Amino acid sequence: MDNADPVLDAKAAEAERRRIIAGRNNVTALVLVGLVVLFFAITIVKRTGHSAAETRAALEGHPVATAHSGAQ
Amino acid sequence: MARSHAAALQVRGFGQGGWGMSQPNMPPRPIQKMPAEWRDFFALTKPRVMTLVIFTGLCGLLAAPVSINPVIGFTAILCIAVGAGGAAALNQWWEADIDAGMKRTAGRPLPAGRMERESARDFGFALSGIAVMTMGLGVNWLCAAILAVSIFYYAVIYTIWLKPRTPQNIVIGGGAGAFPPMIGWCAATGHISLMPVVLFAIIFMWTPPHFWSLALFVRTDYAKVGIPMLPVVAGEAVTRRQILIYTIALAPLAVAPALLPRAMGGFGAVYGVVSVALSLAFLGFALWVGLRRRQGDGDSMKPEKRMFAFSVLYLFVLFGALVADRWIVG
Repeated sequence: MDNADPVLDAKAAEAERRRIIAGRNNVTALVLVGLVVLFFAITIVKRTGHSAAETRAALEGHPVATAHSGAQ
Repeated sequence: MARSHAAALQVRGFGQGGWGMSQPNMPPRPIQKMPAEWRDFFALTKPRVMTLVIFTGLCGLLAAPVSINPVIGFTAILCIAVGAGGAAALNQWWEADIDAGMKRTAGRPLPAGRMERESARDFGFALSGIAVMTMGLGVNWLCAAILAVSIFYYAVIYTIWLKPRTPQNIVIGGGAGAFPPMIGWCAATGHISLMPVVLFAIIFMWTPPHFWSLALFVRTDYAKVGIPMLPVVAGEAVTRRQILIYTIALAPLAVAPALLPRAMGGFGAVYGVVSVALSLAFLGFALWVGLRRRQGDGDSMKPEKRMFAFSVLYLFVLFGALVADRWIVG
């Protein structure tokens, strides 16, 4: 026979539920922040040209020296 | 709190609202299960399988004869990984009942009862959609289209259509896992040429001996749930012969990138030596497995297990050699 106190068990269950949801919320927030940063970086790369050298040059304010590669 | 405790609470019927703690005189509210943990969603993406997918995709990207901006390259690999995770989630949503019947998969989130089926389905669709859209917007739409095809291939053509119907499921379904290096190459170059098709063909031909060596030692699991894997339908002798045939067919394909001219994206001596050595070793395992017979019920199936383990190593080293060759030889 189960002698567990139902009130205590219900409290533990509620705490567990809150912990799980908090964990999920934290991971979702991290993923969303990551996506924002990624799209920000993609936007910069797309605006300044695709090669790493071109992106660096553009970010440092130098004129873009090389032509864009058609393939990229 | 340990997950097992949570499961115990679920079994007892406690969960959201439990027995109405804030209103002790009210009758018990309906039983509600615990929500799934983020770790369960992560497990749904088959992280171990994803490792191989990411690796082959990365190798396709790095072995291409042109350089790629690191941000675009990272985006491509991320999308390949997320797309593979989405396809894996859809696979587990569809196969939850089958997974419950097999020892190897019974601990997954759905058969273990840690997640609702609908959550897995929605998660799979969401991941797949995000991966394809991000690939299209961030990398290029050709890569996005190939990624979408690969997800559809795995989730629908393989999981829903082929797997429960034909013992050739692994042969045709192997195409799903063969797309990542093609996508990686396409992300770098912006187009598809002969070389990424050869890389596709290598994984395509590698898949049957890889999976059938596994199927030989988990045959009873597949038989129990009615999946028509080759050892279940055609027997062990046929499977062993097919492993040998596919491994022999794989060998020239594995060496082909070293034989193609540079102008077609061909590779050099580093890859050539590694691919020949690996192919000989893989053929050795295939001969060992292909020519032996099970020694009664107590057979430990050591050659089959070793071949399965070596097949994973084979693909890692072969694709690693592509990148090494491109970096060393140029």
